[in-house]
Amino acid sequence: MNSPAPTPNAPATTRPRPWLRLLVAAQVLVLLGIAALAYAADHWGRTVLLHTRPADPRDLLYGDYVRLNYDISQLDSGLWRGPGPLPPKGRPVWVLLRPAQPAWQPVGVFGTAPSPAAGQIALQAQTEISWGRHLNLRYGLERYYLPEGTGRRLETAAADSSGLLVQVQVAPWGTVRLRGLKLR
Amino acid sequence: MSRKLIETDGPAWVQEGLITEAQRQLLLRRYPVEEQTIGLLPLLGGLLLGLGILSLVAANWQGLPELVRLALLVFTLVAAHLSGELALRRGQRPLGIGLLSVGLLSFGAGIVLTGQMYHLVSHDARALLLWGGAGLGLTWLYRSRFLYLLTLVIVCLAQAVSTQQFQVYSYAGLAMLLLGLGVYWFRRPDKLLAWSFSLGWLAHMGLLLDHYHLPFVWLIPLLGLLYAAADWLPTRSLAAPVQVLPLAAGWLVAASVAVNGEQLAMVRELREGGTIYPLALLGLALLSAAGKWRQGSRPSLADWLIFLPLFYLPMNPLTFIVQLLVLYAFAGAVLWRGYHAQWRPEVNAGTVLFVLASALAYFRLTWAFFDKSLFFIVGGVLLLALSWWLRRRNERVLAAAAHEQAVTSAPHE
Repeated sequence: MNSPAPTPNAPATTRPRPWLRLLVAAQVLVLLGIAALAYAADHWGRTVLLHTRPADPRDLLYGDYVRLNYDISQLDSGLWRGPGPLPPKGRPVWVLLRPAQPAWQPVGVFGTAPSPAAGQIALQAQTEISWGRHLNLRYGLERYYLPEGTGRRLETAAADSSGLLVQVQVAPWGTVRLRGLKLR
Repeated sequence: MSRKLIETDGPAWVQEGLITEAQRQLLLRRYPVEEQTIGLLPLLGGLLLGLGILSLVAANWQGLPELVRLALLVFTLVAAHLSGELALRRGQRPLGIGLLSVGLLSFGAGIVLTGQMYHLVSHDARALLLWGGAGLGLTWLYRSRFLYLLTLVIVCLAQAVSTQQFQVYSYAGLAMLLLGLGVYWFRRPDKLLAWSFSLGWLAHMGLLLDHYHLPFVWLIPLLGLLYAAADWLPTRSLAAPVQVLPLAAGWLVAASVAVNGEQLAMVRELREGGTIYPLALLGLALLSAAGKWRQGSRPSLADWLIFLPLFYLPMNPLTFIVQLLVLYAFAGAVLWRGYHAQWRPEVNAGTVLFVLASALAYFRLTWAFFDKSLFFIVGGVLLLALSWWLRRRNERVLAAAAHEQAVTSAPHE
């Protein structure tokens, strides 16, 4: 990862300017690349709708983001397909989802990336807790940074017992992005 | 020499006949008054302006369109780097390095904010490693210790996030530390870099052992690797700073074996592990010995005494006494080397090690038999007496050595 070093003792005036240009260009490319990944996921990815559970309104709004708790965040351990016993805390797992109305439904939880059947999608998650019949997962989709001025409205909607529908883009190459919230 | 010293002490030197008044004036002219106060004003103004813009942007961040936000991030990144380069070209090194650091930090902030803005999910620490990579590039390009430290912190942060949040030990992060920052330190050995690199190495190795649930005593060979590598530096004075941490860890293990070896979990774990541990240590000792031979610092081979894995012996009183003797021998070796080289820090370290070994010996041998108040009183008196005696001896030896040097070097003047 290291850039080749210029000759030692080079005087300050002949700094290797081309290397700095390259370095800055690489950094700019990284930032633009991250943004491009998001737009590409919108364009070529599939849209998955996930249902959230009602959250305590006092706990919901943390500064400029809302905390989201999905139906598929707490799964029955009967959905575990292995290999091996229930995954310990921190272990990555893949949740296979199938389309349904209004939100997508879990088919199974796998310890290695499964090959989804037509129409299905596998979402990567991390095990939070697993004990007894419980399998609590974290998808990295639990925070939604709010566009200006939508906080209050979302807060009341999310606290509503019917919950929210969250639109998630899943790209074929694995990029996952929370695209927006749908108020019902 | 600073101008201040010439200003305050100069007249006395003239009076004592060390220099003439004309020479004093010449010296004063050689160190002109630096115009620091004037240089500070634009810096302060720039800082205020920057903070103002930053808070204005931060307050309206969520309201700005995505592409405008992205453009702002890119602009900050490019502007900070280019202005840093410009300042360096004008010979304003602190300002230049400061601006480049702002550029590096804004890259990290840009990664986080862009990810946040598009609500992207990440399952690894790749983005943080890219940030570390940019830091490495800047460090190598501008040869700056400050950028080195900043990069070290970023690389350690990336490893911590990778192991703690994503449960993956990042070998890319380790390679960055070793090949980027390690090689940099090796090629430009420096006290500050040595210290900080050894701390970074400790952090990476600690996270490695934690991640794979290995016994923590494996830190000894892993830090020993650093120790042995330092022996391949051109001189021992360059190696010493980076070897302090491995030696301290070795000493702590040896001391805990001496005090309560029979109750240490690591003893059991290591014995179950078989012969890999002693073999690894042996290999490192040989590597280190070869380096010391080349470096011409063979007496420091005695350092390896402290790494002796005595916990493979049966845990009985005889072993504890042997371990205590090893601690004494190590302290003695450090003291002897210090006297020999007339190097005060080493003499002081040897003294402290000697007193600590005595404290451990006293604790080990008398704790069970003495009345507790008697234990503390006798122990305190013993240690005070010992440290007083050692200090007096050190002063005498060092003073005698200084005198001898003065006498032998006198005829040459």
